[in-house]
Amino acid sequence: MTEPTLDLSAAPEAERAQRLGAAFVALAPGGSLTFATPGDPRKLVRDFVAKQWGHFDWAPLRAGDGRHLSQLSKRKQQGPHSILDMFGDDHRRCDELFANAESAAQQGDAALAADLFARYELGLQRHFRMEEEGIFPELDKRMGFMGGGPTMVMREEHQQMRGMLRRMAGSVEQGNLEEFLGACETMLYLMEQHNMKEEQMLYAMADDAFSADRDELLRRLVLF
Amino acid sequence: MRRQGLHLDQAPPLHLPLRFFLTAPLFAVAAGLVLLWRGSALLQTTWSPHTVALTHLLTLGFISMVMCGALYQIVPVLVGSAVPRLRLAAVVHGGLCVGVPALAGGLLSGWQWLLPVALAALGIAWAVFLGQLTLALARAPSVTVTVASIAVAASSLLLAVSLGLLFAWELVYGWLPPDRATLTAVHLYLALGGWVGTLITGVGYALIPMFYLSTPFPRGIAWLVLACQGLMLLTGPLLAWVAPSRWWHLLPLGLAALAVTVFTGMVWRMLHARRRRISDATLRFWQVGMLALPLALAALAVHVLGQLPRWSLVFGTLYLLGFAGAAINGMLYKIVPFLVWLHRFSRHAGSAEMPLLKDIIAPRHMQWQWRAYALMLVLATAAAGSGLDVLARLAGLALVVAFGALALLLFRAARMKLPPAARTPARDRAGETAPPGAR
Ligand SMILES: [Fe+2]
Ligand SMILES: [Fe+2]
Repeated sequence: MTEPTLDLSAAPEAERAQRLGAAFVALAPGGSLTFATPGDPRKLVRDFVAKQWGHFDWAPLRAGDGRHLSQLSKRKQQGPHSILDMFGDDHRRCDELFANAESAAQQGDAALAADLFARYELGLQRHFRMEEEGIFPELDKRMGFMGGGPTMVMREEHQQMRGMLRRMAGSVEQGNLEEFLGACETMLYLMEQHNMKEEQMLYAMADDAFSADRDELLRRLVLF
Repeated sequence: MRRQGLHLDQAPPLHLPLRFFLTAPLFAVAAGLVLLWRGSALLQTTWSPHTVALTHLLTLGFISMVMCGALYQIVPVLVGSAVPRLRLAAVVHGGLCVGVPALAGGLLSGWQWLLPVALAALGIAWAVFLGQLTLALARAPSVTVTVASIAVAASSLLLAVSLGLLFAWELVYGWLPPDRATLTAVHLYLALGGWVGTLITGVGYALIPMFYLSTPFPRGIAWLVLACQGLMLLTGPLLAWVAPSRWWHLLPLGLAALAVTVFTGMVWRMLHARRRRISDATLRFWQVGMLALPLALAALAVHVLGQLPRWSLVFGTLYLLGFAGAAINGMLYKIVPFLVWLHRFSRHAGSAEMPLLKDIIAPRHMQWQWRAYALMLVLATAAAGSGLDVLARLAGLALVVAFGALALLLFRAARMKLPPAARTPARDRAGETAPPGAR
């Protein structure tokens, strides 16, 4: 759907950071660009975290095949200031990726639906890992949940959503769009009620638990 | 005090909301049977005991029954605190199941002994329900517009129920409250505008963006709507009490009109610009609800300003069946299949044999029921407006068909079991697509 606005695959490695930096400066607040790199772009992103923290959002769109595609956007307001900020925004982003894939399928475009679904899946799996590896273990420790408690419920629901992703992938790969759309609907409700619980309760609790070292955590999480 | 919000796993067991959702349409079917049997005799004045029986089968038996079940389900998530003593929900359900037929039966048959039964059963049901809801609201970690709306709805319910019990008491024991007409007007403001109206808008702020992936309902505008509703609920009953010239009633009517215009306008815009371009029966139900609401208000204005009693029946039909009934019917199609899925099937989410939502209630069945509902709404509005006997009986029949079909679809959904082929453990897909260097 989106051709990269900035293709860094041909650029010499030494120039990439500078070219990406220049393109970012040229962005209007609220605007975003997609950029392609031959390998993992996280080295470039680490640079951004060091120099531009608070002014940008980054997320991968496609990985593998030796060509990575990701999205860099300029924030309208400085942030993210909290886990709720960052993860709430990422929920919206995943919602958008979901809706794009679903509407491509609804229009009968199987190839586009498969491509957009792959982006959604990448985004959601990354989101789960940010939570399961970046937040939950430390949160469990600080709150004394000992592997039970609310993070366990969230992990279980992640497993259910991973199951749904598998089923969606199976149907969209076979070009069975009717089945894919049925799975989409089920996934949507599962995802939305999960997100709501996190935004209403879990993130607020995590923001409390990490109040002292939250900024450091957020800087680390972007790189997931 | 955030720790009180830790009730992620406090969702009620499946049977708890389902018992409310499955019994509710049966009361609407009963209302249809009553209308089919009595015909236009029920559509002469709003105040005949038979008409009161009909309206309460709908308002208590269908609308409130569903709203109670839905609140048990969504309060933990929307309010962020647990509903205490969840088991007592069975008492609330039982109280409504005994109280509503007793009330309707007593009013229809003239058997006076049924009314004290209704009085006791409904009194207990509402006392328990309001107690639970109040405690949950009092422990809310933060006051969002949804929490405030539910609180306004609960306060309205308390007062509306108190007045309702007073009326029933008066029918049985003959103690006459000071001014029956005034108290009835207050009862209607609080029950319809406060309990039904504020609850639907309050829950809608949170649920509509979620179901249709629309932009969130703007918070400032939601508070404005709630402020209008609150002022309407204060001035309406007050003016009914003081009873100045009828033009004064333009004030609460204007506030209601403002709330309705802003709310429906905003919802239309959100639905129009929704990211999710799927149109289904539930969307139609919401749209018809948003259309019926302003029309209901217009009918009410004609009734109040023109002193035309027949228009109060048109208002009641459009408000109860057009707005609240349609919104609730649409919501049931979202919530019942999902709850069944979540409790019975979600553990097997990866299996290709596991039923999806569309297998629990088929979209084409919803589509048929939606058509029956739309036809019923047209017939009922025409019957209320004209008072023609044949239309009234047709509307009664249509009510039986539309809600009978709803009941059937919900019952079948509730009985659905996991197919044996789907019993494979869900494997983990994590890692397959994880980008390198992520860990
Ligand atoms: Fe999560
Ligand atoms: Fe999340």
